Amino acid sequence: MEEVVIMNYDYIGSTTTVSFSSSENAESQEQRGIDVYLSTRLEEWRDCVDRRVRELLLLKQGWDGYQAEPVNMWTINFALNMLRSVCNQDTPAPSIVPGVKGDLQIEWHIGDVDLELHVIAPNNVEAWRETPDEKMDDDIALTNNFKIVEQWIEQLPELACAQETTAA
Amino acid sequence: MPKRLPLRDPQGNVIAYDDTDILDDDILIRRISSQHIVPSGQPNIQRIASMLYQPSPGPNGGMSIDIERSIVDDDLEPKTFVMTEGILGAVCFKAEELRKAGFLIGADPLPENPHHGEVWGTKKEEAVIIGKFTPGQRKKLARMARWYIEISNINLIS
Repeated sequence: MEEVVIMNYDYIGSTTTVSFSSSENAESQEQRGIDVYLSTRLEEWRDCVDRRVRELLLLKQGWDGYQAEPVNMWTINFALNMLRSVCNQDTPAPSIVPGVKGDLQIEWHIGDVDLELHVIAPNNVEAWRETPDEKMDDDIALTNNFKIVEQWIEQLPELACAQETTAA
Repeated sequence: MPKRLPLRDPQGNVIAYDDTDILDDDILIRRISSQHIVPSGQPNIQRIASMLYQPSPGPNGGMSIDIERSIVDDDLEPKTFVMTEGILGAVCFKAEELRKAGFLIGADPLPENPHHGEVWGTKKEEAVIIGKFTPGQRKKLARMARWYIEISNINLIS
């Protein structure tokens, strides 16, 4: 089998390599390359989040030097379900930061764009975003409808590109 | 420094108050855990997560601090005292600046930390102490924070 290496699926420096049979047509090769690339990106993203969740689950009482409680499993579970519903394969992996009462915060910081989702408990989320053009005075309280968060996340790559263009 | 015993609610949380034994010149220390360090969006630079400047959620929820003068009065070295397991560094605030920004500060001595205190936010419109800082309050805290024990390659302000 003749192998062909595809190196043009490059996303923030990572490269996906795919092997093809020489009898496979170009259209089929391209589609399969895209499928593998996207599932690899999603796997990397999931692995990143999974690793972080495992670290959080190991936190003990007093992890912050004061009286912080371990992160609540139900809260983690809810947060993961929320992430699955609002993120897509182009979403950068978020940072996940524990709170002191079993809560946690999911956040993205890209250039001058900040997006923070404070998951206080299942069905109790406070969402906040700041961009160069938008300064929010208060958090938005959400329960289980995250449409606005989904829209914010969709805009992340575009806002990041706009910043890079301005800076260049 | 006098050791005041604050009032507590039925859940055992200190009822927020402003402690006059904490003087305006007093330094209040906030420990930074490794959990509070996140990517900044800039290459090779990390930042402090805003969760460092969040109180405990719920009524009377406050942001934990250590009262420097209380530690010194016990003949302890503050920079050694606050560097417990998992702590990478610390920031500090001046009591006067916190009060001017509308926060309340009170001692909340604990068996394991007699120098513990809390910072509470107030929502002016409601004049009710709530366990939450608004985005504006979080930003104010981030701007007021100064390094007490610096962590290299970390942005204090985003």
